[in-house]
Amino acid sequence: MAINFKNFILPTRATKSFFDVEKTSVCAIIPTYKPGELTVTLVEDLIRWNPRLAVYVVDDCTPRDEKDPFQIFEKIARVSSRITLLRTPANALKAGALNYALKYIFEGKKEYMPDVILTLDDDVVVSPTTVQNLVAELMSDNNLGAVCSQCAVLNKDKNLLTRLQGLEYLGFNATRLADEGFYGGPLVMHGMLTAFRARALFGAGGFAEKHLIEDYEITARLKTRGWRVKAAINAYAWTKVPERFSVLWRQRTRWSYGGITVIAKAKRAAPVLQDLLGHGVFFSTVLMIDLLIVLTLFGGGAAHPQLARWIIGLSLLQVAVWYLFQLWLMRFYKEKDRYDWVLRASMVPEFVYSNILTLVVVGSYLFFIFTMLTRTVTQKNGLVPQGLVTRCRKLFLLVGYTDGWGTRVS
Amino acid sequence: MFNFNGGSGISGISTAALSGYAGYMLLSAGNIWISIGFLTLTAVSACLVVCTLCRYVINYHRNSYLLLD
Repeated sequence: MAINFKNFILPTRATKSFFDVEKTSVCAIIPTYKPGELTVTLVEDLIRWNPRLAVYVVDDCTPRDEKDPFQIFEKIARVSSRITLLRTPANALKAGALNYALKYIFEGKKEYMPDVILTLDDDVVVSPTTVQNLVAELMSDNNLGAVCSQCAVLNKDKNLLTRLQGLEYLGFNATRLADEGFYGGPLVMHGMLTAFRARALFGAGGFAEKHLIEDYEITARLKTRGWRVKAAINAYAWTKVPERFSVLWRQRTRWSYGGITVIAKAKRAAPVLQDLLGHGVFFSTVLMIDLLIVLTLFGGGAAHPQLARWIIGLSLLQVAVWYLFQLWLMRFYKEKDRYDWVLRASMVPEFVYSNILTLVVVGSYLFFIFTMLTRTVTQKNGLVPQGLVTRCRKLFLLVGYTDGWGTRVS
Repeated sequence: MFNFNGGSGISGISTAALSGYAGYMLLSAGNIWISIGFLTLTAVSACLVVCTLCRYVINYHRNSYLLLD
């Protein structure tokens, strides 16, 4: 990969293309499993605010003995004739349910070919302009393969954990804006709400099934095929975040380990560059600290106070710049209150939260290495006792790491 | 605030905290090559932060018309 250093500071500017919004056909796919009232509200809002939108609700094989979800499906079906209810023959997880709807759209109704396909989680809340702003951004540049919404937290006032996630999501949005025009665009077009150019999505072959995070995976694949992606800064959507630490931990182990598998399978560095840089610098620093500790234990080497002062100074400068920027970002946090200000200004809760998430990533790398090693061991039978491998796997499972799950819708 | 780098848990600030700690350790013991290595990593990390902020400011201005609607 030829490194374009200029692109690190100056993002590539989009070339605007003409499009006729009236002639742009858009459909939305909502995979769901045991849906709740929020799904009904979402479908009603989409239909009410987007007069030409076709909506496909895919039931990912909710058990027949569940009474409440089927009352919800009946409610959804009554909302409009523009709604199509589908049901997967077996539970296929989110990517499988999305692909099921894609297959239905493109194979079943050949005369109808949407220009834009929206994929949504079933617990998302949208505003009256969210969809039209997403579509306008996507269609305004022929090189864009996908555009995602801004994400905000619906239940941020619930407790400290949800407030911290609210602040974190504000950072996600800022990161996506900073990454626009940088090596193909932001890392992830999130599964919460993204508009895909139908041609790009089908060219890439749809979503990868049995993958831990299909949204990062499809984004990387689109970029590899030459498409660019971005976030629409005027398209807001809200979602519910985990309210308990155990649920958050499990969500993040999935995101983190899934992300590493995407990096490992990437054919080019550019689509996953931000992760490569971030993880590379972090682990290099950890490695250097380990070396330094070893050196200190064996009493070797002389101190270089001048260099040390430079390192401390640069680190403090970095923290100071970042802190001021994060305070400035609060102006875009519409739902903020004084508690959010206290959290942000005091730094400590976010510092602790961040380092817990860093532990999740470190654990993911350890699990990735373990998985790679055990695969090799299986291929060369008997090098390591199977009992030891099983015990290690159980230990990883106990702390939330497994490669045997995918995104469960709802 | 601390999860800015691509939405991942490992961020510039995690690295900054580690580098600051390393700098503190290097005040009392160390090795010239390790010191230079740390200084390089800290400088790279700081550059990435500054570049990200530059891109944010540029893209914010390019997209600001959307916020007026």
